[in-house]
Amino acid sequence: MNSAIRPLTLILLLAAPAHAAGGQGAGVSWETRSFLSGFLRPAGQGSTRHLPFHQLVQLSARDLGVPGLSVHTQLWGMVDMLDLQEEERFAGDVNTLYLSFSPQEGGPGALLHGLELTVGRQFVAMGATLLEQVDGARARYLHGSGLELGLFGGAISGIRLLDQAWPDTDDDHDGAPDSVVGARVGYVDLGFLSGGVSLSHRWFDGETAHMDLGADLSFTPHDKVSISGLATLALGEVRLKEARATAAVYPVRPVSIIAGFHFTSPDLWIPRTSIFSVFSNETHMEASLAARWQAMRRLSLDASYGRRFYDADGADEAVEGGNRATLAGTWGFSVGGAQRGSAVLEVTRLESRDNAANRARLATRVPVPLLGRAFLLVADLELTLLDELVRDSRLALRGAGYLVAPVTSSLSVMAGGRGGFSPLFTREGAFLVRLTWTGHWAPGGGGSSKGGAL
Amino acid sequence: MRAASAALNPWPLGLCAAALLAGGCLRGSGDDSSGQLIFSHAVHAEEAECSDCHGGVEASDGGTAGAFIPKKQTCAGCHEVEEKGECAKCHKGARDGIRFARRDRALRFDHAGHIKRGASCASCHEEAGQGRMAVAGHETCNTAACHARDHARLRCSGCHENLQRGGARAAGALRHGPGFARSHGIKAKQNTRACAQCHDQTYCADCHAGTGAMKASVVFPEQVETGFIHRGDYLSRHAVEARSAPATCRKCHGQQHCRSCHALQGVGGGGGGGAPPPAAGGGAGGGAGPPPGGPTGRKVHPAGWVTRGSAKFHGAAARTDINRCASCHDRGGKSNCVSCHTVGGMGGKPHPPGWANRDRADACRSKPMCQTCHAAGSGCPL
Repeated sequence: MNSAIRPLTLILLLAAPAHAAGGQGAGVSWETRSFLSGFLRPAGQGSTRHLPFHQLVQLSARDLGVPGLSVHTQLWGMVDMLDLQEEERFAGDVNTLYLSFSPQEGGPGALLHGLELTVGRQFVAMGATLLEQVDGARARYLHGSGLELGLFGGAISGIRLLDQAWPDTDDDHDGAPDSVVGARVGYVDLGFLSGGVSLSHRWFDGETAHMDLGADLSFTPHDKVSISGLATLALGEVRLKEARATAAVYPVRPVSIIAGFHFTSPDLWIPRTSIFSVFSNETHMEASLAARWQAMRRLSLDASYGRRFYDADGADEAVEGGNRATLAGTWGFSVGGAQRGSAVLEVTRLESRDNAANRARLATRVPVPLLGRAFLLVADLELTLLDELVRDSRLALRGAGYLVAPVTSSLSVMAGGRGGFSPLFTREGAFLVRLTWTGHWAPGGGGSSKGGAL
Repeated sequence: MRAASAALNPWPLGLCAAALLAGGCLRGSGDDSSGQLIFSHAVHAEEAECSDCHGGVEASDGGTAGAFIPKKQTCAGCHEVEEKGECAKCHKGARDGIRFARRDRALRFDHAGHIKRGASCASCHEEAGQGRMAVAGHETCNTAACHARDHARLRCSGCHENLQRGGARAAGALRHGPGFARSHGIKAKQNTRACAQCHDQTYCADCHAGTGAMKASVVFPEQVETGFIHRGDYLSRHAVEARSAPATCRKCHGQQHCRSCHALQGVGGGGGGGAPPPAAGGGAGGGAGPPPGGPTGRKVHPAGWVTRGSAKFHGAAARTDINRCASCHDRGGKSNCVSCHTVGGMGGKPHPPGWANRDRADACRSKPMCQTCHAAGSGCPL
């Protein structure tokens, strides 16, 4: 964490004098959230108490003296104020910290207009590449003709997908650095046709963990029809790793219909460095249909259905599929002023190979005009009923309630809690207090704070 | 109306109204505070010149749109704005004491430049008699082939100073239809530039960061309509979710994520399991290290788990859902699985059917994972 904070400080120090001379649109936006929560966590046969304080910070500074130059970061820290004896009472991370430069017309580097360069800790998603958190660099160039070139590389910084096991070690991963590189060549015409081919190569501990070739296409023949597809081939195995396709149709204004197909080979998501990558040869498919009807200006109804199919070569028993279905209604309303209220009712059923979850949820956010301010009352109730018993129970119930109070136009306080029971957490209870501060500052007195309630 | 507009020279009026509402380029959303105002351009145009309210807009050469929206003092020239009881004439809901936020479209627009190029009020705006006098949408900007290419190439920053602040809603190919939370990845992989028009990476990090502080649905509980993937009591249904779409979990979560919590819960052998399972005989436990079922005595594997021919035989489970096994057991090349599943071992070869056709002989000799069983290339295909 410390190693990541040092460059943040450096960049902010460099940015400070720069944004003072910022040009059109220059400014700094920030959002901080402070949380104090308390809850019980199961541990063996008993439980432990926790009182963590979280601090989340987001900061974006744009057009720092040089048009098109900006810096963005999101970071967080946590200290458990109750269980101070634990070694893990502190936690934190820098989720993003990157410098971005896009030459603007008439500004420095105008000849490279269309180039976007980002350096630092960032997320990259490029064709076959899964959304990857890296410490590295990414360059993207969009030519006026629509031709797009993209290239990235760096050390994998997120622990997601990193906490795997490694060859030659039992648990720890302490060998060569994990890294990923990727490239994509594509064409962009947003109103009609976009697509490209991409390559991604990921190393874990110096060994090839994934090497994928991807192709993607998005076709919009009409404003009311959009078709998208993406396929990824695992080059090491020469097998299809994933394929997705969606067709969206908007026949009349209040109706949206989206048909989808999704194919995956789940075992190919296991790093090739793992012994588990040699056991299985399974496939998973889902065909789905989703529809939304904007019945009235503020009332929308959603329905979706997906049928899942499984197959596996060499399985000793038949492999069956499952269904996924959701019905939901969302009603938007206002009470008195500008704050918008909302009520959601949704019912879902999800089947797997050995159980199914039936879920109903009723949630609402109600604006409450009080003392000249718009308070928000939030209530969320969720019921889950499993088909099969889990630990002699199949019922779970959970409720939550919060009150959001605006203090100033840029500061708000939220307090509330949640509680319930389930087959896994026998009983659960937590409280949460949140302080939110949001704002925007622009040089030359053009800054403003924005409402902090949401 | 067009003739009347010309007589009144209403372009400043229209352009300023557009500054308020030109989110028509992307249909407006967010809090619709303009809807709380009662105002008729047509009525005002009968008694006032446009410049009376919107002075200076004709000389504007790129300033932030919306800067010429009249302030209270301007209205005070004609209206008794300080008089109690007068507020409701213009402000809906004023009696409830709600503040009216000025709409921030975060648009930059060169009015003067457009006028020099021959654009008139009617080129972009609805008729002055209309209540909002909005710009109709991207079609308007693309009408004279002025900005069609900018639109197609996603050069939004020429007009949109900041789409995040602008309260815009995605339209056309970027529309967020039903199930978008489930399908947005395909759009992002194809064109992150499109996403970046409205969302910084910090937005992605709220859900996708490897070490998020807490679940997004906990951070934003007031967003009751947002389709957060792990919303609410996800724990109760996570096993069903994982079994129904195993790759979905694996894309983000590794073994440690499952194991750390399963160990606390007494599921999966309490984090042990490094030793091989019983050779045969249908024991219930998965490992010889910790007690069967973990420290709490909770049974993890069903009876017959290691009995060949059993309906619950672990081999069939591994062939059909290897991610489920890997969530607890994956220990690299020295996995407990390999203890039995070596070539010639009691567990037999672990390779699935067709493996020989897709494995490469050189990989067998060079990859550490392969050499766990094929030491010095023993048993490797030629």
